[in-house]
Amino acid sequence: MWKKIILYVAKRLLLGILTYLLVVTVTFWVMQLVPGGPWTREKALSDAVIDALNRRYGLDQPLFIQYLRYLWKAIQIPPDFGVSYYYKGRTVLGIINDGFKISLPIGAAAAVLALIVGLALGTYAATHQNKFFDRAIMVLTTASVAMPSFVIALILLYVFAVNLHLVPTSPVGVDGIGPYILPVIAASLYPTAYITRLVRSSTLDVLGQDYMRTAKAKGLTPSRTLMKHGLRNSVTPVVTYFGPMFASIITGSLVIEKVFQLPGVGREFIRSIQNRDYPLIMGTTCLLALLLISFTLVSDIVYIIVNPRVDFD
Amino acid sequence: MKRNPLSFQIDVDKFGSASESEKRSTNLMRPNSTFFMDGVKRFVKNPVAMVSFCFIVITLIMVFIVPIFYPYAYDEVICYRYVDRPDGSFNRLAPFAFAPAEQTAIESGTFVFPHLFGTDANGHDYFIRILVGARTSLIVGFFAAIIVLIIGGIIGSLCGFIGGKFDLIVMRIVDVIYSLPDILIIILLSATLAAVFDGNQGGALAQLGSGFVAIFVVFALLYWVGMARLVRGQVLTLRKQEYVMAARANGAGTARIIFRHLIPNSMSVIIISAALQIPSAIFTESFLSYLGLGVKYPTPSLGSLASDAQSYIVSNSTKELFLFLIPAIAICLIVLSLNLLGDGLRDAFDPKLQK
Repeated sequence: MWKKIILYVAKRLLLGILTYLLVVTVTFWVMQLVPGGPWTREKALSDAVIDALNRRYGLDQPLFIQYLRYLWKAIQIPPDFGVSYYYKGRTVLGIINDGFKISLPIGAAAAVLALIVGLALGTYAATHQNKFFDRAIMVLTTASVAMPSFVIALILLYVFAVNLHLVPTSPVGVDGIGPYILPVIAASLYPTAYITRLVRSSTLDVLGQDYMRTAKAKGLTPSRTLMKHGLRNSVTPVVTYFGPMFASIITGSLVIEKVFQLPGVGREFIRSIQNRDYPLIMGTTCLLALLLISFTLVSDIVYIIVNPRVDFD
Repeated sequence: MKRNPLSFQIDVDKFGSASESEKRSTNLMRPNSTFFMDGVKRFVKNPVAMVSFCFIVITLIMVFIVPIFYPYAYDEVICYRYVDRPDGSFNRLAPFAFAPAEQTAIESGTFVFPHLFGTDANGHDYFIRILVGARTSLIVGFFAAIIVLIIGGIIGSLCGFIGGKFDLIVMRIVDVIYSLPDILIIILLSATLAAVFDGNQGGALAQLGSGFVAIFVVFALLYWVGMARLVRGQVLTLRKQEYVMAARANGAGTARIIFRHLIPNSMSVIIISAALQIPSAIFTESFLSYLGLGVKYPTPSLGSLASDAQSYIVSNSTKELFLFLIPAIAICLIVLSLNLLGDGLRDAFDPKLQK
């Protein structure tokens, strides 16, 4: 059994590493497609300066050597993605680090909110199947899965910040958590809706199982039956959603940080694209990918802990 | 002939041969119903799916047929009068308002078609832009689904049929691609393609816009894996079925088995899952357009229209709010009805689905 688990984890780890290497490779070669070097500016630099810059950053080497060097730096701990071409004298890692100070708390808060609300709503909807509340929850979640995150974010901004003045519209010059409430809600809506549906269907599945009837027959109260015997089984599908959920929160953060003008990683990423700041684009892509891959890995491992019946194929 | 009612004499007329209608009444066989007809029957009975279906049909008519007859083009500047605006932008017409030139035309007795939603900040008729924007989004979705269907279908069925080492290697590649963060790659690609297109302007691809091409490239490179897994699974389970063995025992060749048994039995599942790619591609396109990586002006898409109008949200101009709301609601309704339609199709045409 243990051998199987270790083999499984090793396999997942290997897959994660391969994926990361693939992302690094893809970002490197995709960036080579861009016409003009990194030194193409409005004001043309002299050839001597470009040569000096190329030598300074190792860009005079053959492409494959550059690739290997890039790959080598990308697998260091912490990875080294060089310096930004746009922000003078700042390393890519430093910029991303500053961004994460904003993005991570928002993402974590959104994930926790989505988990709590999703679990509660999903379980409630399943235990009250086909009642009014269940129907309402299903309609709402179906609708909110169909809404692009920027629409949700802008509508929230319009209603709660612009019109009702409950929270400030922009974080500039504002203390406290006020400016972060709407971003967290906006980022959590899609995962909340998804988790709600997931939990509802898995709880419905669990409620029909024989062991639930047995638990009820031996006299447990409905809530105790659900908590002791149902929850662990109905929660397992949610664990597999951890990875994708983090992906959707990161994706959402790209948009949400633009809407709410938060200086997080997402906005930095979008800016780096507008500024054509290639090291920053590559660095952000690789780091976000690394984050995603590790989350998927963790959720895979948590899954076999929560659900020991997992099929290690 | 008059008969005694108590007579036991047999009435000969009753022993004649049965008429056609009598013969038919004893026939217990109902008319043949195909799998497809059964599915349609189930589908028609599902009100949610039918409403979405009607909505989609109406939308398709609106976006593909109305623009042909509509008097304005999506890139035609209706009103190019500069007003005293600090940014010097074009005059935006309110709904049903007319530009000065059109006003004089109306006064001289000509009929001028009203601008149902007014014009946008660049002086284009907004109604036609919404229609063409929705068309753009739907086309993106449709072609993305087709690409996924073709690539995933071919690779998946090859894996299922050939099996062995080939299957093993391809499936490991699929595993790796499956765990790639798709949105990051899409953004990376579209940003790069935008730079590439800026270098050589005027190309047909550049006209489409980088986001457009990036979505297709990414769907072609990444999203086929889900479809490939599905098709492979279908092929593997179906070829072990008893009826396939029975067909083989009856002497059916491989071609007959593929066309008579494998394709009809797996088609519904595969097409439905391809159909569900459409809303996801529309979603991705609107997302990219919002980030400024989508279609290139003047081509509209619902995402870029909503994104262009978002400044009215922050400036709290109630009069212009509809410029944002109309494309935003259009995206939501289209994606919602496509999702519901896909679910309805799955319920109707996937007999193995457990209820």
